[in-house]
Amino acid sequence: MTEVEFKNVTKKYGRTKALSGLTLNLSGNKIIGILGRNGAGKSTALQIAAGLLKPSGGTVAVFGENPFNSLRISANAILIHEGMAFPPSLRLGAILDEMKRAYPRFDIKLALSLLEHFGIPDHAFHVQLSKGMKNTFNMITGLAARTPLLMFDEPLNGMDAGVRSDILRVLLKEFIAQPRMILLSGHQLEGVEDLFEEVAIIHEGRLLHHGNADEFKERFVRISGPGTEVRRVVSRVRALELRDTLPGMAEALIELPDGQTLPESAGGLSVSAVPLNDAYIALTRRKGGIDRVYADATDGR
Amino acid sequence: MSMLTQPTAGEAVRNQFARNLYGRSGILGSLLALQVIGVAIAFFGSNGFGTADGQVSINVVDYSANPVIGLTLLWALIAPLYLSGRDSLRSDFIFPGSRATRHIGNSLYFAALVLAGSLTTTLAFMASVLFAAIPGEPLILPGGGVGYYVSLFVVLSGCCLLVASGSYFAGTLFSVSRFAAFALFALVLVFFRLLANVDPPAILVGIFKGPAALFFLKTLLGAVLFFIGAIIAGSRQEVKE
Amino acid sequence: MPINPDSGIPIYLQIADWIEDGILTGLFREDEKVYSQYQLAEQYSINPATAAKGLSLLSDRGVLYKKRGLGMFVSQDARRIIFSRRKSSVLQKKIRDTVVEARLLGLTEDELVDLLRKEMGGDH
Repeated sequence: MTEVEFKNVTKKYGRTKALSGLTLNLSGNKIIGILGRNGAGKSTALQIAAGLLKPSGGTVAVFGENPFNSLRISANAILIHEGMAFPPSLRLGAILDEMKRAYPRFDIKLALSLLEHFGIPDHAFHVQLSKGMKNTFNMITGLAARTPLLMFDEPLNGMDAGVRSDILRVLLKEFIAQPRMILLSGHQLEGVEDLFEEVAIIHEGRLLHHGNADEFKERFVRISGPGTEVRRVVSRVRALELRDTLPGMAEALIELPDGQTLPESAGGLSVSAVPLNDAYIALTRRKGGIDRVYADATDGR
Repeated sequence: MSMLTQPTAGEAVRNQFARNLYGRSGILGSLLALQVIGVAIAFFGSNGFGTADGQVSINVVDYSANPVIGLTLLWALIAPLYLSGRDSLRSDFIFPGSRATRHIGNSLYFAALVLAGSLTTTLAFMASVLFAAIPGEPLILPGGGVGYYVSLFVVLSGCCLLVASGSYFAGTLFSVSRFAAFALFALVLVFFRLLANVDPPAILVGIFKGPAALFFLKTLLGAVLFFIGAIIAGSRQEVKE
Repeated sequence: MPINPDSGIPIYLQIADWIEDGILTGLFREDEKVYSQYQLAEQYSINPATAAKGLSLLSDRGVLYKKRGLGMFVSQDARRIIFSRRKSSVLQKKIRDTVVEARLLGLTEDELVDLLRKEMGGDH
């Protein structure tokens, strides 16, 4: 069964198109990265999957059901994001009690221990927390809710590096202990990319790529060396970036054809792997990149 | 895929009710605070609390102009606007529920608070009479005796329920679409002007004339209609950031 | 073993290399159980599927074998398999790198062989 299914989904806000024909099928108990630039449509897609927004066109099914206004989906899927507005007069401890009442599998013991570990006092109010602490608290509520579908929209903003790696370890342990589908959207991925089993890249309201994260990472390599050598390779494969570094030298980020690998240091070229982050940024970059834009703009004067 | 939980609408309504009670204690708190202020004004101030709007004066003029009543009605007008707003919507949708269970939970919550508020107001009235009796004068209940208090309670809760439901409906409509809310407001005004060619208060008096029990039934029916209107108006509302 | 996500070597290969190293150094013995994909995932903060990919690579090579429901175990001739594969591929690659480096430095073949001999003599 497909847990989350988007079929040619569009979403308009007035004249702006947030999604323009998104088709995406996600299935299995996996941690899946939903990647894309700011404004690519990730948040809109997740809010539609959570049943908060209704699509302008196309169909969406979560656990085989239209999520919009579905009581069943609302109890089995949770979306954690920065703008979560908990009831304002509740202290954090009381919010957890409220979550426990609403989500039958909510693990309040885990939530309280995590609050203590991250130094968030349970008698504080949500509005008093700093941005990073707010996001940490929100993430804790999502993890403890133990819904079969767990969605995080840009969950790590504002967190200290230490908190970030700790909460991601909790996420991984939770996933191993209670396998479920976890979607994690973001545009800053340091420290997260090794957690993904699959990645879905959304670009300009559409799906650009969806597949296994390890295979995706292996498809992209950076080569650098003498300009002629780099250009010779680039002429045979798809290049996402090509720029001259020093006189006579060039660097390129290339996508290898399926099943093919470049031998390291082939022909005087140095070959290095590309972090997932760089690969998706290159993939979603407009033609030419910033160097071209700057060159064009300044030459015109 | 792990097993899905099967929530019932009853649970969602109960949780919505409980969340309003515990998570939005300011609503109940403001009711209590306003009633305490009203009692204080009644005891220490003059009885000339005349700032209530048209609807208030029509219905309560036969019984009393006590400020507790005015403030309770004021609360019934304002509190539902808060609960039907977008902030409350966003907060509610962190928790399981549908738009319908949310509105039903909210309606029941207001019904409960209105009844409780009317009861305390009635008790305040009784207390004021008892206090007045302390100096040694013979205790004289207002005409009608216990029946007076029963009808005070019934009429007051009917009024508050109608005001609260109307306000909740208006608030929901406003949060779904500002345009629709203003359009409806304009339509109502036009209706009164064109069809009746009399003042709106006069029409309301006409509708709600009669014995207390009948009055209560009419207000109850009106309140139910308003709440159903809110459920329908909010049934496709999106939860936006 | 530190898994280095920035090393350019896919993580599942690093996992596989690390387990092979463990077998060579005697950390894992024949017919002993190695770590599960979940233990590896937790240890290195990686997705369990990535860890499983490393394990299944070793099972494809014949270094590990699977006991249904019990996990992965070290094969009888794991060491032999690892030795022969590393000799043919790993050493080959390292030698190729060394030769490239030597050419850059302008070393002659004899000078390189001398260096190798000295290095091997120094080991004993």
